[in-house]
Amino acid sequence: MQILKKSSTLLSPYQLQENDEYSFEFITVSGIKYKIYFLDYSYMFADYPHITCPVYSFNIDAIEGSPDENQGDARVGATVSFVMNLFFKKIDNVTVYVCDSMDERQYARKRKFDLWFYSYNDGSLIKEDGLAIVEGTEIYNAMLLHKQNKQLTEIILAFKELNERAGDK
Amino acid sequence: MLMKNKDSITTSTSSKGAFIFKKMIEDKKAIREHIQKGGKIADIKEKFDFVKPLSITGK
Repeated sequence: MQILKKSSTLLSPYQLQENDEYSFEFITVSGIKYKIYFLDYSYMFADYPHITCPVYSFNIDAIEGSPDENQGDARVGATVSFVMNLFFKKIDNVTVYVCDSMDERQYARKRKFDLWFYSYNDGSLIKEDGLAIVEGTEIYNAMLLHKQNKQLTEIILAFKELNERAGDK
Repeated sequence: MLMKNKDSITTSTSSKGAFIFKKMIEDKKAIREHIQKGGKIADIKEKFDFVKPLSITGK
């Protein structure tokens, strides 16, 4: 379990646009367009009936331009942080981030997500890292939840169990 | 609670964790491919449980 402190150098987030009912978008100074969206996976803890918190996956994708050409843009992390701060205004919200392995760059994605979290968490959030081995494939994942979540311990234990047992037949 | 598209996954694993994490990856890939081709989320909203659990306007 990691409880982290606020970075001393906070940058301004990019302005979010709501171009539809399902997602947010922003465009960086170098012209890269990102889309952020959440999916409801509240059934993730369906086998743990005492857990009643809503669970959403967090997703961010570059939909125009290549992020590889401008990896040092810290305002992207600031924008993700801004979204998370709004998301966790509802304290019982829980979000899970999975690192896509489509191009074998899952660990790079994990590092970037970790960096955003380390840089911008104000101490109110907890990140629990997970590694699920599914059919021989490593799926790096992480769960964020508010430190004041009343089901904190139960949720973390359930999350760990889902990861640890992912390889079970 | 909606569980759209969940039953369409075939997997040889039986654990809940495997199912969930695999589905998250598959959903993510399918959505990314759609939007990077210029598709709108509205066109696939029936397949996935899109939600907006926050407001940027403070409402």
